[in-house]
Amino acid sequence: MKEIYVLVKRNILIFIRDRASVFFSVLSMLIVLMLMAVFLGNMNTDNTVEVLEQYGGIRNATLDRENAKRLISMWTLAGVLLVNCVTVPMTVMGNMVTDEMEGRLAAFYVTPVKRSKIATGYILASWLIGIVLCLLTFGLGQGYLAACGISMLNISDCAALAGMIFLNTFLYSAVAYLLALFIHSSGAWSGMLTVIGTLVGFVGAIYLPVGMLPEKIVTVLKAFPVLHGAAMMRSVCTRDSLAATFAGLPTEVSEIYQSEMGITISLNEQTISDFTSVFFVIGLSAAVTVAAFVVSKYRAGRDR
Amino acid sequence: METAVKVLHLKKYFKEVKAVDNINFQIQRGELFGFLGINGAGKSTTINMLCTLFPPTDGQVEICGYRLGKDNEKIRRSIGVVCQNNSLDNRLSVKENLVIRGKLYEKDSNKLKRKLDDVCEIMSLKELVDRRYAKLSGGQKRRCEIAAALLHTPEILFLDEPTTGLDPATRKLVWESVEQLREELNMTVFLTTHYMEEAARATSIAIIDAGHLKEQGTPFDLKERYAKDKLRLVAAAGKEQKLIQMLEQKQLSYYVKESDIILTVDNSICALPVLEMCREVLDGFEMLQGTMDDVFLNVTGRTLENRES
Ligand SMILES: Nc1ncnc2c1ncn2[C@@H]1O[C@H](COP(=O)(O)OP(=O)(O)O)[C@@H](O)[C@H]1O
Ligand SMILES: [Mg+2]
Repeated sequence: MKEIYVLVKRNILIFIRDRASVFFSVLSMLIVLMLMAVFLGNMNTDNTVEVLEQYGGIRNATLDRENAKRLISMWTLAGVLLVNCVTVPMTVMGNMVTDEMEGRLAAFYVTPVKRSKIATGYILASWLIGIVLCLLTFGLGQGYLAACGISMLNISDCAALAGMIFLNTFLYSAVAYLLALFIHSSGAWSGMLTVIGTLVGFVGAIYLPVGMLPEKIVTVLKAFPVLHGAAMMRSVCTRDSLAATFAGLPTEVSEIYQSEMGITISLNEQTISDFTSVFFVIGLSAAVTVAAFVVSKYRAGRDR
Repeated sequence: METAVKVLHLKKYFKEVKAVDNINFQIQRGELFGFLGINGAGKSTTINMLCTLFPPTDGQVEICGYRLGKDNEKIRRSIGVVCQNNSLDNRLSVKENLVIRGKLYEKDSNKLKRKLDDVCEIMSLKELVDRRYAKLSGGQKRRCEIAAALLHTPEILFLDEPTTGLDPATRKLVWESVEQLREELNMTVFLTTHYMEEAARATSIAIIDAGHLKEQGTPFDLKERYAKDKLRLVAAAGKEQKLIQMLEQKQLSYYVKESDIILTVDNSICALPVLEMCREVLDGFEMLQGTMDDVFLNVTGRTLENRES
């Protein structure tokens, strides 16, 4: 266990010491947050208000807009958080690729430390940094919204969201490790990061709500954990604002809205519960982790 | 004497590239073994197999009595490795680097601290411990790499081209440290290099060329066999033709380089009768000792031009 602790500490230190890389990680997530709040936020808020007008008859228009604004802000924040859950662990794992390229991995492989422990060291370090930076994004996001006069999430929702951050960052740390076993140059790695960073926004239906995507594509996306991660986080983030926004309206309106916005996912006309999504992500994490260790062990007996 | 490394019919094929092709050698405990070859000869491939980094295509290897492929973890505990490329972290200080490496072997932090002090002493790193690794010079980095490999006092130390890219003075320093290790700790050292001359400091040498082991022995032994001494004769003014006539009469083989006449002799003693004979036509003479360069060229049949390629 001590070796794992040493390796995790080393990997974290390597990441933190690269100040520029930490700075740009934080900066890029803030930029995404701002852009989404400013541009996409307004568009989605307008749409939401429209839905309310359509079904609600004469209601308090000012209150509707305010509710919709909070709902969409929280929805956006959840999406940004998920993007970070994917990209931060991947960025951190880039150090493993550099370690391999520059021969440092070989130096670890000639020590008596088992390869599975070396793998664990990389995965845990990515996971921990992922958790910290995502929680930081969440804190900053909440602070920013509070400054705009939007009330914060309650403690129990915050706790649930933290749990989801733990879960999703772990999955993408394991995925990152598995990918790093196959990529041998840091150029290729950063290229892949760019692609994944861009794709995640669409795959998770974060830039565009699911309702705006073609049905066939959505069916495919349901097989990927990104959409499920986004849905579970949105579901927690928007729980109370949904209730407030749709108060007094038929439940179908809220249900349709949630499914259009990717807050819930439905399969064969049936809404998938958050529990199922969580279970899916846990199962997938386990599968990816097993695969990562198997590939890693298989590699140990072969050429690099 | 105990055998530290035993290599039998070792092979490594990368697809069609026969990087190492059926080599055999043994290293006795306490030896400083020099593995000599040009770039691409198969030195790193051999050392990486011995260090358990990847498995051989074929062959048996025993290190400190442990079978490669069976007792890899025990082998890893008994060896220290300095790879061809620097492997410490640029973003960490020398001390942080050494502590991380050391903790992977030694759980007791008091013991580790003592060992840390020891290796810093041996590799003279005392002044460097708090410096950022990235900021060190090439030679200082090399010394840190060696120190990191020594932290668990391995029985065998593998060094892959420890002196490549260093200036002559630093190369000398590295060699001195290695020799000191061998003497003080009775450590077995396996070292690769493509600098032929410095290999003469090893106690035993093997020459590898294109994956084949060409020759092995002590530097003295190899020089005896492959590097004949040379006698350089300088003729007195106007006596050049006379000197050549005398040599031809005795049917001695010679060649002319610039204005000098050079004879190959089996050893220095064989030069005496020649000198005696030509005494009156000579202006001076010089004995040229056989060099490792000569050994290498004669063993591999290569010329100096394609040596550095
Ligand atoms: N992983 C590899 N895949 C294919 N060929 C390799 C690999 N590693 C080394 N080689 C080839 O094996 C030969 C020996 O390489 P190496 O052992 O690195 O030489 P040296 O260390 O003596 O300079 C070279 O021809 C090199 O191109
Ligand atoms: Mg090499």
